[in-house]
Amino acid sequence: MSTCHPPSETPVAGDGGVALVGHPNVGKSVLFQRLTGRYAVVSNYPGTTVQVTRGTARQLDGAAVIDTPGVIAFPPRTEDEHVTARVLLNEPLRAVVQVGDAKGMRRTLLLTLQLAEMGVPMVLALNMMDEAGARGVAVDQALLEARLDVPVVATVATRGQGVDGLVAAVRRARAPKLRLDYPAPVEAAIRDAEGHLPDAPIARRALALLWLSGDESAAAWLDAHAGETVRMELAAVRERLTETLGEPVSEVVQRARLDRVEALARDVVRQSTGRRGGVAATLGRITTHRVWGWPFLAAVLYGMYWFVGVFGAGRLVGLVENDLFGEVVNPWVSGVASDLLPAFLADLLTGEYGLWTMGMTYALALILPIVSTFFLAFSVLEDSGYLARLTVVSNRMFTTLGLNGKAVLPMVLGLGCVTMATLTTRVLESKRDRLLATILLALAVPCSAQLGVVLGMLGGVSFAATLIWAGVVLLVLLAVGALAARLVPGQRSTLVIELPPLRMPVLSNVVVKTVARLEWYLKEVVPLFLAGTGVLFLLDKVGALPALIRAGEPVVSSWLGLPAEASSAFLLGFLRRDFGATNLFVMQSENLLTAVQVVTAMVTITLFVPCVASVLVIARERGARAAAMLTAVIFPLAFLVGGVVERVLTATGWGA
Amino acid sequence: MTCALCGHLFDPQANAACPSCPLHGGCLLACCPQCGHDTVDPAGSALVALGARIAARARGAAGGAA
Repeated sequence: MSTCHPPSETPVAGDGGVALVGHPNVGKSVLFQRLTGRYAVVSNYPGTTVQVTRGTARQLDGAAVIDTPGVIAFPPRTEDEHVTARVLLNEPLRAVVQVGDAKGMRRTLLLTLQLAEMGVPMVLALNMMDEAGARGVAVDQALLEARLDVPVVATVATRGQGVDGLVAAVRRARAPKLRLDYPAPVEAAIRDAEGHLPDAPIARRALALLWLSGDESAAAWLDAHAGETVRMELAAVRERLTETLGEPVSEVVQRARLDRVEALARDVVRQSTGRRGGVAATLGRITTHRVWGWPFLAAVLYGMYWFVGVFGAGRLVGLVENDLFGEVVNPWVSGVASDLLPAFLADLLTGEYGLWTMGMTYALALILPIVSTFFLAFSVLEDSGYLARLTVVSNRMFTTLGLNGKAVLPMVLGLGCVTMATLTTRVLESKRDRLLATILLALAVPCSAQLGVVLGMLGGVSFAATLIWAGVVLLVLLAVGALAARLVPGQRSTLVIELPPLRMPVLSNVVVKTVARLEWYLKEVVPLFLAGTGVLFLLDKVGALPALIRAGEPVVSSWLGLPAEASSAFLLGFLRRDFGATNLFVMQSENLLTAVQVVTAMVTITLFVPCVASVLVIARERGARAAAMLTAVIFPLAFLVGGVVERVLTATGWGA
Repeated sequence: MTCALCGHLFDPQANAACPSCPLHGGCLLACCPQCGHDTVDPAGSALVALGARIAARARGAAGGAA
C-alpha cells in the first residue's frame, strides 16, 4: 500500500519560526520552556479564543517558537485543533517539531505521518522516554528515522534530557520524502485536485488530502487564496470521490494511514516481557481474545454480581438499613421530630414520603452500601487495565453488526456516567453517528450507580436473573444499533486505542478512587433524592399521587404485571433511573415482588432515559428537538420491552 | 493523573471539556482529553483530603511513639 517517493513538491525551509505540535499533554509546554527560557508571550490566536504561547529560542539564533494547542488528528474538529491547522497553513515555519508520547507510539506515528505528508521540514521528539522505558517500551530510533526520513530525538522534557539533541536536529530539519499511497480513486482525486490548487505553505498533496477529507481549515485557507472557479472545481472533485467511494473520504484515508502505522510500529517498537510481564501479557491476550474474552467477561460479571449483589445489597444493606437505620437511627429521628416539630413538618421529615425516612434513608442506607461495593469493583477494573480491554472486546461485537467502531468508546464510558459519555460522542465525525451513539447511550447503557442497584436487586433473586437482564438489555442495544446502522450505511471507522498494561490493582489507588467517587455520587444524588421525595410528598398531600398510581395501573399492572405501587417507582425513575430502581429495591425487600416482576421491573427501568441531567446534555449536544424525540421514543419502548419480557418469562414458567 | 481507559497522562486541572459541560463545572470529575473517559479527580475530594490528613497524623503519632 505505502511506498517512499519524493513528495509532489517540497516547500522551501526559510528563516521562519519553529512550531511545537503534538497531542494534548505530551510535554509540549515543558519542552517549549526548555527551548525558550522564562520569557513567553501568551495571546489569543487571531479570531479565536484559543491561547497560543510564543517565545524565542537563543540556541536557534533567536528563532520564534510557537507552542500550539494539542491536536488529536487532522482534519481538525475542535477550535484548538483548528488553530494548530491554521498555524501550519499560515505561519512561516523553518521547522515543525512533533512532540510525541513514546509510550503511545501508534498514536504518535499516526500524527507523524500526517505532518510528514505536509512536506514541511520536521523533527520527531519522542518525549517521556523514561516512562516508556519503565513500561518496557523500546523504540528503534535509527530504523524509525530511516523509515520516516525525519530526524528522531529521544527527550525527557521534565528533566531537560535530549534538548541539545533536539536543537541540533531542528538545525538539520528538512522536508521528509515520505509518501503514502492511497486507494486508486483517492490517488486520482488527489492528482485532479493538485492541478487546481494554488501554492501553499504545505505540500499540495497534503492540502488536497485535507480538502478531500472535508477539513474546514483547508476550506478557509482556500477561501482566502483561491478563486470561485477553482473552489467550485475542487468541490466537484470531492463530490465525485465521495460518490465513488460510497463512504466518507476521511475514513478511507485514515484506514490507509493506520495500516502504515501498524506496519511501522511492528518494526520499530519493542515491548519487553519480563517474568511478571509475561503473566500479565498472557492474561492481557486472554482478556481481549475473540473467543476467550467472552468467558472472561462472564467471570468478571459473576464476580461483580456476587460482590455487589450478594454481599453489598444483601449483607451490607441488611446491616445498615435494617439494623442501623431501621432499629436505631430512624426511630430516634422520628421521636425527636414528633416531639419538637409541628405535625406537618414532622410528617415532611419522617412520614411515609419523609425527607429523612425516604430521601436520606434511600441515599445513605440503601444506595450507599450498594454503590460503595460497585465503585470498589469498578475501581479495581479500572486500575487493573481491564476496562480498556472491555472496549476491545465490545468493539468486535459492534463492528460485526456494522456499527461505527468509534461509537464503542462512548458506550463503555457510559458504564461510568451516561451524561458525560454523551459529551464524548463529539469524537464521532458525522451527525448521524453522534445521534446514533446518543440513542444507544440513553436507551440501553446503564450508568455505574444504576448498575450497582440493579446488581443489588438481581442478587436477591439469582445469577440467572442477572444473565436474563443483561441478555435482554444487550439484545435491545444490538437490535436498535443494527437497525440504525442499516439506516446509516457505510459509516464504519476504526477505533485506535493504546491499551494500558494489565497489572495488579494498587490498593491505595483503588481506595482513593472509590472514596472520591462516593463523595461525588452523594453530592449529586442526595439533592435529587430529596427533591424527588419532596415531589412525592406534595403529590400525596394534594391527593394526586393515588390518582397517578391509578393512571399508571393499565401500564404498570396490566401490561408489566407489577403491583400498582410500582407506579411511584417509575415516576421517580423519570427523575433518575437509580432513584426509581431504589424504590423497587424497597418493594423487593418487603417481599412485594416475585422473581419475574424483579427482572421485568429492572429491564424496564434500565431502558429508561438515565436522568434529568442526561436529558439536558442531550438537548445541549443534539438539540431540544432531538432530546424531546428521544424521550418520546425511549419511554414507550422501555415499557414495551418490559411487557414482552414479563410475558416470555411467565410463559416459560421461569422463576416459578 | 493517568486515564484508566487509555493510559494517557493528563493534568485534570487543565481539562478542556469542563467549560462546554452544562452540569459538571467545578465537579470532581476529570475527563481524559484523549478518550473522554470521566474519572473522579481524587485531588478535588474533601473526603480523600481528610483521609490523607488522618493517615499523616497517625503516621506522625506512630513515629513519635517509636
